[in-house]
Amino acid sequence: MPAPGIVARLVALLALVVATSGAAETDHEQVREWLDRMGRAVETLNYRGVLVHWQEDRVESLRIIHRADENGFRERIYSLDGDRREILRDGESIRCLLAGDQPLLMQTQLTSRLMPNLPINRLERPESVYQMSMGDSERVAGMMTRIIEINPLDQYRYGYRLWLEKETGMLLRSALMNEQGRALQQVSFASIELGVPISDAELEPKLDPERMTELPVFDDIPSSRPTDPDNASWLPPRVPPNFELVRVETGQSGDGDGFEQLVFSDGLASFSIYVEAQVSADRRSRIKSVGPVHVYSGSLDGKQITIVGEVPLMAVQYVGLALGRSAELRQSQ
Amino acid sequence: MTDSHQEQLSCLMDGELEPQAQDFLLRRLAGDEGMSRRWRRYHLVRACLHKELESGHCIAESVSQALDREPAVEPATTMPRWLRPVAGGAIAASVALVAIVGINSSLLERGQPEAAAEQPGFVSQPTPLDRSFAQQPVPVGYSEVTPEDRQRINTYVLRHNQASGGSGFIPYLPIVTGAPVEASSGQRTDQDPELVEQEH
Repeated sequence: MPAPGIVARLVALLALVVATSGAAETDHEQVREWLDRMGRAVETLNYRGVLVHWQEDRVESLRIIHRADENGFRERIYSLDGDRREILRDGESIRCLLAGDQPLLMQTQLTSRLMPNLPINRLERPESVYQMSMGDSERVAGMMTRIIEINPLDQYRYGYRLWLEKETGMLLRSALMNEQGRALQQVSFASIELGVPISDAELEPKLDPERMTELPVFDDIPSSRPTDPDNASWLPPRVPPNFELVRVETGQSGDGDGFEQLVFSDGLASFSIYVEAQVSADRRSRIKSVGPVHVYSGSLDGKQITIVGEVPLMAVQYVGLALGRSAELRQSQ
Repeated sequence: MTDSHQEQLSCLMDGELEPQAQDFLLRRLAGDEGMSRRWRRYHLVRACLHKELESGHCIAESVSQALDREPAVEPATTMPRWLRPVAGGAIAASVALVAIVGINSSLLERGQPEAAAEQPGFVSQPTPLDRSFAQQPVPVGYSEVTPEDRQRINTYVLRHNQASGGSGFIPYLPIVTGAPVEASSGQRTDQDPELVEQEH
């Protein structure tokens, strides 16, 4: 029979384990509720405000106007610094107007959003690769917020710190963190008016779409509809842990070529793999980045493969490295 | 190879090198067989520590398994019985730590990775095919990003953001702010020159 001291210690240890897991569960539940509220607030509230965007040594200001009513939502985001750029969202249609030496209008429309909400419930699985916790309260743009911390447990995804307005859950500040816990990018409202009426005129672009060159971009054809992930015609040799294929979409690009888009998600972060016919003779593989977004392009079996997502270089590299090796192996056979 | 070169390689692995120094080092890596060999060893060790060995063998795990196989010996210490498994884990971790600390000084100098290189299915394991990329990494110039390239990337990003339905306006901001497109961004993450550019 074990000594009473040991039993007492075991009981104390058990109690500690139970208490810790209970606290973690409550925290997870709270975080999920806050994320739900945030998702609803950013789409269903009316607001206009000035956003400040920091990325490394760049700081830029933007204006955002968002209206939601029974007809759906409309949004206009435009730059206040540098070249004039605007993004107009009207339901599922997006127009992107870029001024400068070569004024461009990019237009894209999905027949339906593939994933109205990312499957946040996947984050609560025991094998989740994120640790989520409630942080302190802080004042942002004149309003009280609650901080939500989401930290990744490996190097294949970013961490997030979100400042959510206490009454509505509206996202007032957001920071994207790297694995060392440093902010890669921060976005914060400097001022915001919540729940205000927004007129049609405010949502009209200041740049004239008629005077811009329209860029042929992806255009969905009527037959394009989400397909079952099991029916993907091609799959990458590997993806980072916990990323699952959640959607397969086929469509036609602006110049008439067919493409397949595979969307992988871990419940929070996501990336797409585009599979198209090889158009360019250049078969070198490359990785590029636009802020925290990484883009890999390469080729395999006469197909052009492009991987795009707001994920760290490591994640895109993990998929790309295996593709590069498959290509080499096939050529050598 | 000097200590300074070793340190620079180590910084490159950690993504802590300035872009110019990084370009310089990558060019040098392309022509220096010794340095290229060391680079591959660093990756071998790092991948092992990150448990990327698909065959399931790596230093930390092997040590842990070896400890498990050790016959149980009644300890001479007064360590409580219920604490023992935890202590075993701690020992395994400390041996793994020695392995990490020892990388720069002894392990690599003795050419240990030759044995490791025979393990199949290793994510970052150099193979004859990889060697041909590893010896000729050509850093992509920042100036190579043409306006067309940028537009193409923007369209992919736009469509991905639409498809993933993410968190409101945030994903669209890099496009509105005109964030610079950079060829690979090894500033804060690990970078494998094999992937900066591969000649097929």
